[in-house]
Amino acid sequence: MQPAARHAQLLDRLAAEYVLGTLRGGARTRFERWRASSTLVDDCARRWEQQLTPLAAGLRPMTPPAGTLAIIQRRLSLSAPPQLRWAAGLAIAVLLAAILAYGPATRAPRPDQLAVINNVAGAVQWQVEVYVQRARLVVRSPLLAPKPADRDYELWALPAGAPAVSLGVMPVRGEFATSLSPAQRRALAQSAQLAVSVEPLGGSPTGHATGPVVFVAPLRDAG
Amino acid sequence: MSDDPREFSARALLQRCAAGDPRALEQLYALVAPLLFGLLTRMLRRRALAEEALQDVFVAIWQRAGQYQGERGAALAWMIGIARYRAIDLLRHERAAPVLMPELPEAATASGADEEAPAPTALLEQCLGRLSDDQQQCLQFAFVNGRSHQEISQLTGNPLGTVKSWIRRALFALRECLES
Repeated sequence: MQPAARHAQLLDRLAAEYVLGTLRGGARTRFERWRASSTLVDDCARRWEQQLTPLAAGLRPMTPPAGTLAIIQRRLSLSAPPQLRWAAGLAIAVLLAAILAYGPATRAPRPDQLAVINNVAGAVQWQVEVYVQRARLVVRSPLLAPKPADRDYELWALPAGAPAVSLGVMPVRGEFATSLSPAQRRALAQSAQLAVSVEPLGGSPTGHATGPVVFVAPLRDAG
Repeated sequence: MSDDPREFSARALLQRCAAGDPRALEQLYALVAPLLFGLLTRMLRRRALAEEALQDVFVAIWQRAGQYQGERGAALAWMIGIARYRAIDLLRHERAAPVLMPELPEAATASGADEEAPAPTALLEQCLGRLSDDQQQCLQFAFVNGRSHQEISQLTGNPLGTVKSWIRRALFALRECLES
């Protein structure tokens, strides 16, 4: 075999193992540098990526935990579109003026959807409030929720005709607020009920309820 | 990947991300985060680590959206690549990761899925079908589960040299079939 052909074959083999993930350690780092500096190497790796990636596209999707998008947006300083910041500042000033002028008559924003989950004694264990416009979920837990030390309660939306969508881990006591992803908002819009299951600490590792469902409560429009 | 129904939207959204439109990132997240989170959870096998990795991946997607060149490849493949390489990097530094989920050598089916998962392309499936069971299993362990040669050798009980040569031959047999 000619040296050039042997070289091309070696490059192709390295690119394949790099894309597959079996090229490790220093060899992987060297290949990454080589790829960044050479279009030939980059093209070779890209060709393998195009061919092998459909292997991963067939995997089961999983709903990420509530609030992940908000963390990403914070990390990127994207919480408000930059061109709107001055407008947001103005809006806050106007709102403050309005609160000062109409103080006693001003009420806290009302939730769009509401669910009350009672404990076995009939007392309110959790109150779940959904604010559609603000894409926000607030859970209030006025009573301490008893639970095993190695378990958490996880809240689920139960959209009609679709699998449950996680809304996050429930607070044991106090108040907990989180942002809703578009997928969670869609699921909530189609849900007439919420459920609470018992999961390993930090929530279900699979994206689906793995433990027993201990509470189911109606979700009603509060508007 | 080009026949995946998400591909068209993903391309348009990446272009808008490159132009700095934060709404596009939200929409892209809704479109591909479940796919990427499923992949990361499978590769990293620890939910907390997969969550962190998902954040890193979307930060990278936003920052590198301008580098994505539509004419040189599919948008989904580009994002899956970012996620897989991030997971492999984390795996290189987290060797002692406790296994919380069982190893599943085959791609999961859509049963019990959050959303309907698209199947690998018919051609890829056909070409995979021509490989031996051992070769298919090795490719899946490496590509989808992020396992190294050494780990695949331990998991399957086959000698390291045999695993390496199965993988090498499987890759080139696959390419030959895909390009024929």
